[in-house]
Amino acid sequence: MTQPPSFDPHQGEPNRRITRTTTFFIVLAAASAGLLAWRDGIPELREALLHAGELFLYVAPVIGAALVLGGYIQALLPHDKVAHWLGPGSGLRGYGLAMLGGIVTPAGPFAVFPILVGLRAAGAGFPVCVVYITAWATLGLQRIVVWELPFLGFDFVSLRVLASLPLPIVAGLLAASISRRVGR
Amino acid sequence: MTFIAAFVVVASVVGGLAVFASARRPEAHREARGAALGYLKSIAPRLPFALVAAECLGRLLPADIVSGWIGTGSGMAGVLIASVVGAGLPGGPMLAFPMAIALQRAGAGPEALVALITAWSLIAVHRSMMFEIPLLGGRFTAWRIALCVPLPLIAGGLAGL
Repeated sequence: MTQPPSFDPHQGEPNRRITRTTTFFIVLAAASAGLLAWRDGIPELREALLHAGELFLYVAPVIGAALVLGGYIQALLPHDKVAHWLGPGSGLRGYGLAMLGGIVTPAGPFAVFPILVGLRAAGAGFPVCVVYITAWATLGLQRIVVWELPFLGFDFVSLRVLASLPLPIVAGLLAASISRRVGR
Repeated sequence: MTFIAAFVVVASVVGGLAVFASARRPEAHREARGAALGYLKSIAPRLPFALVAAECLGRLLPADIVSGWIGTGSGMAGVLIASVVGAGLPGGPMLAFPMAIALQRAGAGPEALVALITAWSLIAVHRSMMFEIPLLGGRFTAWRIALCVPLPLIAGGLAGL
């Protein structure tokens, strides 16, 4: 079993405590809060802040637990075997496995893109990669559990998941029709 | 209720994986802790500001325009507009999902929200610039994104059935 790819959340950013992305959120929060107070008054802003605080208390425990889950998935996922299962000649079974693989891959782009590099290196075709990335983006379990369920609720999530089930295969078939142009 | 249910589900899966790791590969505990702390360090400072920003932006949105353009009954036109908005939505799930709630409260219809989230998750341009183009190349990325363009419309259309 190989080591999982190392994780650097601040890749490409200078080594500071407050990163550019954090600064972006701070500026965005200050600007929108200022605008809201200016347009609708301080009571409206206070209500917005209370509401945001309440939401934070609800979602923080779920997100915390799910981060540990992501850590375990990253540590336990057999990266070399994944590449083997989805390699060349895996055919339709490859599509199905790619879809399953995408669903269980952790949510951050720092996990999925290094795995894709491994798949390409192991000889996986363009369509299989497209099935994998589409399943990860639209049906990824971790993002659904950590973010979507707490924020949007079960009814909406089940509707969206049902509507998204065919997408990875549709994308894979589209990819197969043009894969010669992409190279493989 | 949803929050408690989600927490219980996640915590039980974590428990199961921890037992599995103890039995099969004890060093996974240390790796998992390192990875989890890495995620936490990047999320913790941003989440409170992201929630405040999304909440305030949601209140600033003119509800009549939102419900007129992408409200219930806006049909495929609403799905199309929502797909374009979703594809251009910056930031990760920390901003996208609170924004989705804000749009929902401002009157956005479910099929439009499905299209918006699908477009955001597939096309998110900043993610491709940071990870996909450097790792997989511009040709791969451009063709993949081109293939993904019809997908939010399909999902939104299916959700409207």
